[in-house]
Amino acid sequence: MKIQTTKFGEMDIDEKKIITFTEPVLGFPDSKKFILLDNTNSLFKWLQSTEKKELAFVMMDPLQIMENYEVSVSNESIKDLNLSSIDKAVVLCIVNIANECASVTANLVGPVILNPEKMLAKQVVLLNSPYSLKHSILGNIQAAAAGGEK
Amino acid sequence: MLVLTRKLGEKIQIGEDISIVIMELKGKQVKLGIEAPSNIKVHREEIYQKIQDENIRASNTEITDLSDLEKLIDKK
Repeated sequence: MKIQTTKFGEMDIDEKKIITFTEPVLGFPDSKKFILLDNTNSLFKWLQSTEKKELAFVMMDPLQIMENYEVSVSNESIKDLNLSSIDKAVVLCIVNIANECASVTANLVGPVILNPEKMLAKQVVLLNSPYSLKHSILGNIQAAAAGGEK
Repeated sequence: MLVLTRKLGEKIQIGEDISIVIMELKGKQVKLGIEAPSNIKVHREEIYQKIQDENIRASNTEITDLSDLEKLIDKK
């Protein structure tokens, strides 16, 4: 299936890889279908809308920047996402890159939970969490990259 | 919008299984106790709003090549 994207032009994607959001990403009520563009060897992935060519988010695994990052997922969300077990869930956070990379932050309060078996996802809101909406990741990535080279 | 006046300790019942009690009044702050089934999401409005704002900002990024970002980080 061919889709149009602003950032990557026309793309030929596998329909089976389309992720359906059971609840839209907050602020984007009309966009429920996305595809995860997984760059090998990259810390970052793109979550590209298959319906709105201009809509794409930079995503990353929060464990890359915060050890012991924990998400509590409600039973309702587990049901929503048709998860057979919480271990099957993939957690990603949205990365906010501003001012030509002068500021790069990860939203650790509103992670996206993905069920890769059913290709269902939703953004959850962590209440009373110790995490930041704007967790700066420039330093952490530097440290992770340095650690990885050893 | 339905507007009700309540006193300290009084409740508002919404439907059969949601109730809100006024627990404390302190200056301009009101402490509310909310009882609702676990499938009903209760949030302070601002956290929803903040996540929404953050999502919108994140979607406005002009970067396309993420290796640029990793390169930039390597330099630092």
